[in-house]
Amino acid sequence: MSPTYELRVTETQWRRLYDHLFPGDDDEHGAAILAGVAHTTNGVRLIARDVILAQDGVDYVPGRRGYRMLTADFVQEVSDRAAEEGLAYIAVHCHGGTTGVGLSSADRASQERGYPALLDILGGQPVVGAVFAVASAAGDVWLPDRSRHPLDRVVVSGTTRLLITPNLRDVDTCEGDYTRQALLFGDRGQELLRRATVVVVGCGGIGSILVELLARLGVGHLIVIDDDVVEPTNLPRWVGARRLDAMEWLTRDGRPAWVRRIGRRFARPKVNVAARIAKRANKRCEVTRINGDVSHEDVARTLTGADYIFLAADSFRARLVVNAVAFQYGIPAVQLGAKVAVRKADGAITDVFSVVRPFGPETGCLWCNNLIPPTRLAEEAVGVEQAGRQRYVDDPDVAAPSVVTINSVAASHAVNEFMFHITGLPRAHAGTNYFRALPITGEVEYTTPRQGPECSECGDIRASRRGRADGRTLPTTDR
Amino acid sequence: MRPFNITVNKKPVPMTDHRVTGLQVKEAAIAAGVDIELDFQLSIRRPNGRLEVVGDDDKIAIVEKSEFRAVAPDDNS
Ligand SMILES: [Zn+2]
Ligand SMILES: [Zn+2]
Repeated sequence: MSPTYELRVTETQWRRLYDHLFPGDDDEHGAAILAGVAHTTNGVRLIARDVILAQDGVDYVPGRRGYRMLTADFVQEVSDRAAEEGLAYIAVHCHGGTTGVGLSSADRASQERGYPALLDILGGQPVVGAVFAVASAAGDVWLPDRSRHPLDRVVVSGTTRLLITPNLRDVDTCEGDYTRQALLFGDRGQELLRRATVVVVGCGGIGSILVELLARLGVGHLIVIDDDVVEPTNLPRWVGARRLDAMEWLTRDGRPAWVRRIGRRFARPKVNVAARIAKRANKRCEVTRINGDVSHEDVARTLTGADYIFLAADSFRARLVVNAVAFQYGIPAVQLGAKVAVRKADGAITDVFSVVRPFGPETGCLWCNNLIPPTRLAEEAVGVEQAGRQRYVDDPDVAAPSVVTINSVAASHAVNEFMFHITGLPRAHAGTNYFRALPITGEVEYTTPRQGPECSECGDIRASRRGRADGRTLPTTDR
Repeated sequence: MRPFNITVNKKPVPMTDHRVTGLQVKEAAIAAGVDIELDFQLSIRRPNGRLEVVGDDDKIAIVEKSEFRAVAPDDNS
């Protein structure tokens, strides 16, 4: 697959830009976007941080060579800011038309004249000239080495995702046996699922169900991440797991420690079982297995080219890292889990719930919502390093109740939300709210997450991580 | 000030101030014997029925019968 060049904007940014470009006067209007740059396994992504509208008649004026142009003052000011903050500079204007658009020869000529100088000013970041019609977008990406590449797509990320390409028909066909479900979201929706790259962080009980559902839906590329092997106690809640995967006759209780150690060594990595589940569900699904910990830099990097991230790992460090990736790279994500809370003193069950918490470009982060308590993060670091990963996992205080039926409520709800998001089905539904199902009382609760105004992860402040892409380091443990 | 009751996880919690932080609500709930911890995620039920997360430092207005949820931040997968 050749690398793609993609611009990602939030729904709020897109609404502002769209209203400015298409006020209904059929005229041309201009703007600029400052964006973080991500070099990912899926190509280059430009993550919009700021949309700067060019005021008609002041910043966007009759052109000397073409129809209209951005004034030198405007370009100067915005490109200066891009250079100072290490961001890409994207010049934007609109054309007439709806479903197809391309740069004109006048547009190209003005790029040839102006962009080499802009590349010098930016000192290492791309310069992009983009043009929008009502339902399409195109452009040229100029890299510092003076190579030029077509802008393949614009992704608008909100409750639903909008994929804008140079030509709408580009994603209009669907293959395979999906006619029944395509009755819901259309051939186009099915094709969008096939083109999606989805990460599942943590292949435990919930992760295994996620993999099954995502593959059967027709997701084209799954990246599965886990550093553990299958154990006998996983079998009751692991869809598609076999006793052989857990080396059950060696690892079960009562065997001598050394036999269990050997059993564990030959037990199958969870990511291998996940890959088998995915392939069995959908033989065309491409699966990337990563037998590692997402809190390590090289593993975390594999998330940056994703279209969606499912976080089904137990550690707070994993939450910290995935939270950072989601905001830094503009990728929608969801944390999901289940809990059977037991009071230590008398063993009484105090709470049972399944929970699904979406986060990403348009919402407050896990940090803002008390879901990464600093003390727990610190305890975890000490626990894992001093006691060793193995003891931590085996610690009876840590082994928590887990039941397949409770897990599957969370998994199904989360994949449903993903399906609506990626296929772009419009709906009046609160897809950004936290979902919590309480099986004992039969209640379902939706909670609106908060956003800390000055949050260093998701906030609008200049120092925040949001949209910085490769311009920030991730909070991984090897940093 | 006249004391009044709010609920946290459906259990009564006596309060005296009408403007409090999220952390103060959790502290009061723990003092009243509600089975939660200080690092739990707190939400308040708004008049439209929706729950809304309240940060530890967020100041909120509460009245008699204000309803809260407090949920453990950790879960299992
Ligand atoms: Zn043009
Ligand atoms: Zn935040």
